Amino acid sequence: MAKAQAQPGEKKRGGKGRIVLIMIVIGAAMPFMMPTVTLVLLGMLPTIVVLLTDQDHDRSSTAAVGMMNFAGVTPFVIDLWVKGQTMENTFHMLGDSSTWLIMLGAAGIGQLIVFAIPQAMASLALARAESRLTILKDNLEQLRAAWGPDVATTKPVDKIVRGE
Amino acid sequence: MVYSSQNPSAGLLLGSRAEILPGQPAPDLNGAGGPAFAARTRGGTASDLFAIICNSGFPPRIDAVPSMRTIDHSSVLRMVDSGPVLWPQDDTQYYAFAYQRPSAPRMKTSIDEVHPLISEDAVNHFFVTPMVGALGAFERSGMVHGAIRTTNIFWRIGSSTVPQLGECMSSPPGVGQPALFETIERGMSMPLGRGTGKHVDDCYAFGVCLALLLMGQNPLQGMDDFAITQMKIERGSFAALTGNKRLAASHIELLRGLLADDARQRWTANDLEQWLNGRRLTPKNTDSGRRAQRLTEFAGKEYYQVRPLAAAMAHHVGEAAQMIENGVLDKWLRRAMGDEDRANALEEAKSSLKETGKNANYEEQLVARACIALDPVGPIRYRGLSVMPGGVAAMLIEGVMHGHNLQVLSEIILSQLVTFWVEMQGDEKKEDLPLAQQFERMRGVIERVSLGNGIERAVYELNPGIPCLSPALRAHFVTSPKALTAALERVANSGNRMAEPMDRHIAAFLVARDRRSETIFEPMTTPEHLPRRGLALLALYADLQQKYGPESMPGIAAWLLPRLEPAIQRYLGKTLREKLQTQMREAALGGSLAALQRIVDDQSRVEYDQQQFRAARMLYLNIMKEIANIEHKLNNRDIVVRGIGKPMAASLSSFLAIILIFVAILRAVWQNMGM
Repeated sequence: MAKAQAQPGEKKRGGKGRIVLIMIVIGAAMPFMMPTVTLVLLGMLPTIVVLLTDQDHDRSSTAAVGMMNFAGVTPFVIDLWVKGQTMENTFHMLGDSSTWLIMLGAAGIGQLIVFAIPQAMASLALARAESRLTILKDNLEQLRAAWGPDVATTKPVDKIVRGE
Repeated sequence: MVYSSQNPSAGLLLGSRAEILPGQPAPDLNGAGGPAFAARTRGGTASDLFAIICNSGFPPRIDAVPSMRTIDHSSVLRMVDSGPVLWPQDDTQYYAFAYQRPSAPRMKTSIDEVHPLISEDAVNHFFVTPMVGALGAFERSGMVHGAIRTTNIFWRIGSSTVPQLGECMSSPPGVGQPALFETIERGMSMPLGRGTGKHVDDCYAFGVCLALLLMGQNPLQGMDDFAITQMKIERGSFAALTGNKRLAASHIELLRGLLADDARQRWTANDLEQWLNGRRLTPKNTDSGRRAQRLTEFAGKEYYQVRPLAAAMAHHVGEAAQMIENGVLDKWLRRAMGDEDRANALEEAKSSLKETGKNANYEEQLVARACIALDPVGPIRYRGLSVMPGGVAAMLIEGVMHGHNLQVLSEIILSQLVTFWVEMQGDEKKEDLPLAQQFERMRGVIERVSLGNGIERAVYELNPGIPCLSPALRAHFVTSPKALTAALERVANSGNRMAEPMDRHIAAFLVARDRRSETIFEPMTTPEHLPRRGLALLALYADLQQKYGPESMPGIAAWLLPRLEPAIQRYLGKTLREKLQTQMREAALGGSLAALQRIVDDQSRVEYDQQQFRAARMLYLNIMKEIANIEHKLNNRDIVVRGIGKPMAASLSSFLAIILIFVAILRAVWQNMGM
């Protein structure tokens, strides 16, 4: 019990540690990869917003939006590394509206997936559950028909046999 | 030819040797147990026999049939055959006896009939000699006739044809016998309660017949049975019967010997044979007329003798109890009678009652014991009944059949009055000890009220020959377990049957006649809805069928089916139950109870069915849990969205992102290579 109660706390500590680790990595990378970090930080703003607003325990919305957002940022990070990692190139890219359209658009598609797919999946799963429910209720009826109403009780068999 | 209403000239088969002609009554040969009809030897044409149909309600002496068969004497009507017959007039089975037709009419048609006197020699030669032979034949067979009287001897008075003793099997001994022909103690008993008696009682009855023959009339004509017995007590039987009549000296000696009131002094067939051979015996005077020096007053009358006093005490219980308790009787016995033995016996009666420790009907019990102490050879007189210990059995039959005096008879057995009676018999005690032991055993039987015990079992144990008295079987005269199954099969098919083929009589009958353990009847008293009841019935009748047949008993099987329904309800699977019900009906039609038992009472099948039921119940529970789970999901869509939809969205998004990143890398590589 104590172990089970301790687990969420440990997980929380693990989550904070990971954020601290990421921030240390970013802080350490900052002097060497300032243009890339700037591009990524600004490009991943939608993800940061979702991260702050996501109430889910497993943060699946953050993952969905974050991954698509990252896919939108990746081509510009590659371009920056190919053209040369300078603040000038970074701001040049950020000055282009199509860059924002692609980065934010990818994040938007991620949000669209978060909005549409769970609803669709839930509808599908519930339809299957309803069908299963019908089958199960039929099975119950068959059991009652084969063994009588006592099959649904916890009355001792001896008492049923004695007709009590 | 077989008898039927369309063919009345045909005979109704009795046993293997006789045919009864129900259309030809023979009222002049009627017996105490029922009417007589003409009969003939099987296959013959002449009506050389007659048959007594025992429909009077008295139990015929079936247990004495083997002894009667051994008697073959010219002075005894020969019993040709016996057995139950289905009497066409009321479609009921009665026991019947076929006898050789007598060669002469009855000696007298009434005991008061007057006839001309015959010579001493003629009496000795034509009456005494053959009758002594007949008595000897009965003594040798160990049987008591019990119905020797002038109206039951077939002889033309004075003729040279041998006299013949009439039938004695259709009713218990003493039932049709006027008190005139009975000893004092038997005369004081109720006719049905006289018991089988002893050989010397037959000799006494013969003595009375002889006295009437010698005097040409009934000297006690016009007196009722009570008055005759009182006179015999007061004067002694010999004096009461012969009075002042002048008789031949040899006949006086003979009658003194035969009419001795003390059974130990009475002549037997052996003594009679010696007398016929010329040896002269001197019978002793008995003390039945012994008088006290001083009278005692009781219930407004004066008494000098013990026996009449005992008889009066039985009729005035309250006053008698007072007389015993205040010591008046004791003083009278010791001082006026000078009879210390009887006074001591009275003391013993009082102390034995205290030993039993029962206070119910205290006065009646005290007086009954006192009467036995005062008149040890007399009957047991208790609460209006007057019965010899050997007659309790026959009285019980009437009690069970008609409800008469059943409670009083039970009390006689339960309060050990028979045992006390035997203890009071002095030198004769040894002879009656088995009787006391039997009644002690019956006391235990009556005290147990379970099925197979009680008064019903006592009836069958005490009366080995009687048929089953179950109301359902009374018309079938069932005397053996074999006949029981056959009769029940007929009852089952008649449509007029009770709820189940079992009652207290059938159970007691089987315990007594088939030596069944009483414990097998225990489940048959459980409530009807319990399987044990029907299964116990089925087990019993299956075993009876296997032992005694008949091979097919569809009637009883169908009768048992409703009782087996609870046993079928033990099977919890409906399909199995329906299948077994079908099989049961088929087996019942076939009439094999063993097959029926195999279907219904298969314990391994019951256990397997219950295992299957438990498995089904577990499955039901699991399905219920799954349904609850699904319904929970259906009622909480958000959970499904969160639990399934969002991880799926994350997975899909990640998958697309990976493809896009891969494409971006490929594009960058391709552009650099193109440069």
